[in-house]
Amino acid sequence: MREQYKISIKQYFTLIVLFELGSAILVGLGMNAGRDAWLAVLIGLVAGVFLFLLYIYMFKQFPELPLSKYLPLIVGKHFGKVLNMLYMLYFMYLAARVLRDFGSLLLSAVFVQTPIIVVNSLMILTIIYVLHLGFEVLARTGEIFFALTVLIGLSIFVLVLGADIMNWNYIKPIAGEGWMPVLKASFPVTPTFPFGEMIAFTMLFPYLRTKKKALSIGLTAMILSGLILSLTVAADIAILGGHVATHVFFPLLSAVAKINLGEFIQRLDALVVFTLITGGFFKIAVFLYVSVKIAQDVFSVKEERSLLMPLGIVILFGSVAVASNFVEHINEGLNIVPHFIHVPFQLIIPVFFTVIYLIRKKSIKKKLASGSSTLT
Amino acid sequence: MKRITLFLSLITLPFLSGCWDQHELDELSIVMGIGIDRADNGEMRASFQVVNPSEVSPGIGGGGGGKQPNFTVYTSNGKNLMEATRNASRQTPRRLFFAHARILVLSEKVVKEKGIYDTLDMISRDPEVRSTIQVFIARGTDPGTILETFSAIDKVSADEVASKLEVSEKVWGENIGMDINEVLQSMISQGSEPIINGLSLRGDDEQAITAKNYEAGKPARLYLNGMAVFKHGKLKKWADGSNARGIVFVKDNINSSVINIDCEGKKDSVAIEVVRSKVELKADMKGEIPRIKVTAYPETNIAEANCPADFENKDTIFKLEKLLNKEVEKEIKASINFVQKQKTDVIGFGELIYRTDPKKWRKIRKHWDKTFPKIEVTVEADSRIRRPGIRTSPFQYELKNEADR
Repeated sequence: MREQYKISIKQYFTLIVLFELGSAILVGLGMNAGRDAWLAVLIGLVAGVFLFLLYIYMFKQFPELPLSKYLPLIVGKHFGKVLNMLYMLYFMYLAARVLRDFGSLLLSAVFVQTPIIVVNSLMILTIIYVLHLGFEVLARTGEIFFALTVLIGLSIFVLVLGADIMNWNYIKPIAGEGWMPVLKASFPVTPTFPFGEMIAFTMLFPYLRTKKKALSIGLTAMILSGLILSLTVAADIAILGGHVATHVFFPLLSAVAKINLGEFIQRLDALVVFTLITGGFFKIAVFLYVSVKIAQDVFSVKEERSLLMPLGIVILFGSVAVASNFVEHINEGLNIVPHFIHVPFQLIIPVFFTVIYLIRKKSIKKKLASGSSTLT
Repeated sequence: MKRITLFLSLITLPFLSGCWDQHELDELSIVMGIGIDRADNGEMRASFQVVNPSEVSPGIGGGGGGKQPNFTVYTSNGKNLMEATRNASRQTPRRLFFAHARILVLSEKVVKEKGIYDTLDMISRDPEVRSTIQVFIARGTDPGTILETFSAIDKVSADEVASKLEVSEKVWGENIGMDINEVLQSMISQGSEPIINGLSLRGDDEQAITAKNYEAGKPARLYLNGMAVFKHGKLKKWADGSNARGIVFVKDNINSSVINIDCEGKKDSVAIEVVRSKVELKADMKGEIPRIKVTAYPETNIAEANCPADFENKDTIFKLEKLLNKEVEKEIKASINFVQKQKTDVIGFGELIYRTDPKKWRKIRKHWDKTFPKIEVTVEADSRIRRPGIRTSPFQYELKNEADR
């Protein structure tokens, strides 16, 4: 087994931002709230930060261990194994969902005649290849693509301002139908997607080069991406109008398509597709990597690389099998996954093992001290 | 490791060689304009204006030789737009490609009688059609004829029409560009209704659709003709001339325009060029029926003065400003009366009330149709005449001075 790569602070930051923006910036986040969608995103961010604090708290208790290693310590070996397997399936499922999002975007926007499995397999093969070279490669690629994404994002922003296509009247009044519809649209969708998905990083915290900064840098990255998401959603609505923005599958794509500067700079959808592919790539890669890490612990596999291909293939077929059509996929994403999958895995189970930890704190610490040599 | 890399790169190789959805340029017919009409049997009749690439591009075909027309129009029928589109393939030698379509022309008769609803969905759903496509209504003619009309300056008439709209929007102000998204948005929103540009043909119909048209000294021309005011998806009335401009004014979409005012007792003798304009709308929510205050701030220059006025005296300018205010107020007022009489909220007063007081709006939105005509609107203009071009008083002022001496 190779020595575990240590993630630098810069890489940690860029990975979080790419991960959070990933697929969330693509599908209209919080669009159930109509023209208040941007508010729903902010509410999601605030709630998501609390989830993150919980994950960081547990990390501080076990600074050397990832989730899959401290779970058995807390809840017992066998039950821990069960939970670990569930988490592995959860992350694989999420990877499959993001892959589906990504494939659907390309299909409905560009490759109408192409089967989704072709597009998806290209994506997953690339990810498997990158992870095969090690997490370090992914992290360093992240730095490069972060810079590119920022550059493209900024230029799109400038072009949107220059094209003067935003009508801020479209997002007024704020909470015009009252606050209840906004809150209803927010919970539990926006806190869990994408902010609560930070639970994947509980598998990566121990591999940070500077562990002290896990909280501060993580929070900064989360808040930054939350603000970008909220601003993007607001701009989508200001460009397209509340009706159109909430009734297209990919608001950002439709919004950017409206940029037209002097009949010359126009049809910039390709730029958006590029950033979306980038974000999707990193999100799927992180999910795949953490599920591989958990699988490695659960099945005591020595070489993590040998797990990449099997899990990747399962994710690939999962991405096609999760739903029979795109509408079903989006429906599940909005109505089923947040309530019955995200909430248990991001909130209920973590709270559950945190409480058990607090109760059994002393005995766990003792166990940790005696067996630390065999664990790491 | 090396073997795996080799294996991976080998299996990705066939995928990288090309795209599944490739469309070669010479297999595509580039559609520039789409027309939607009804056939006599009630089916949808779609027309597609398609560019003839060898004639339009300067390099190929001997510098646009002129042997063949620059574009051609295919017309086909179907139960819906999609069917009509695919039905056209029996006539077209290549696949129709919609990404460059710039105008969508709807039949006046159809939107008046059957409404606009059944025509828009495919245009907004198809990933190929860009949402910047401009919507027009063929006024006094049919979409097919509009698309078939040969243009004089640009090679493709759909392109020319889109440019006409852009220019007119910038300097004349009786039309507002309305793309497919804006039409949908204003149609869905409870507090607003769509308003769509009219497109007419002036001149000889027979000649218009032949290549002779651009050789003729007096070609038939397409021109923008008013804006159609909609109500529940049906064309209710045409807003023309000052009514149309008044609406554009209130919607705060005036870029530039020309307003005539009286001077020294001579009617419409001074032409004022609006350089930019800003409009503030305020809703007063006290009382049962909201009141709306419109304040316009046009910034203008004097463009033409056919009267003996003294432009070296600032009081003359202030006097003209006052007259200009009255003129602007009159025009806006008249256009608001017009839309209130048609009972269709194309300006978006409902949206304004929703923005100002959402709670109150929730109470009145159910019977907004009835409330809208009753709304009391006060109009105020506060205009500025900044400069009178590059000369001071008009020469007619000097003439008058000479005569007086």
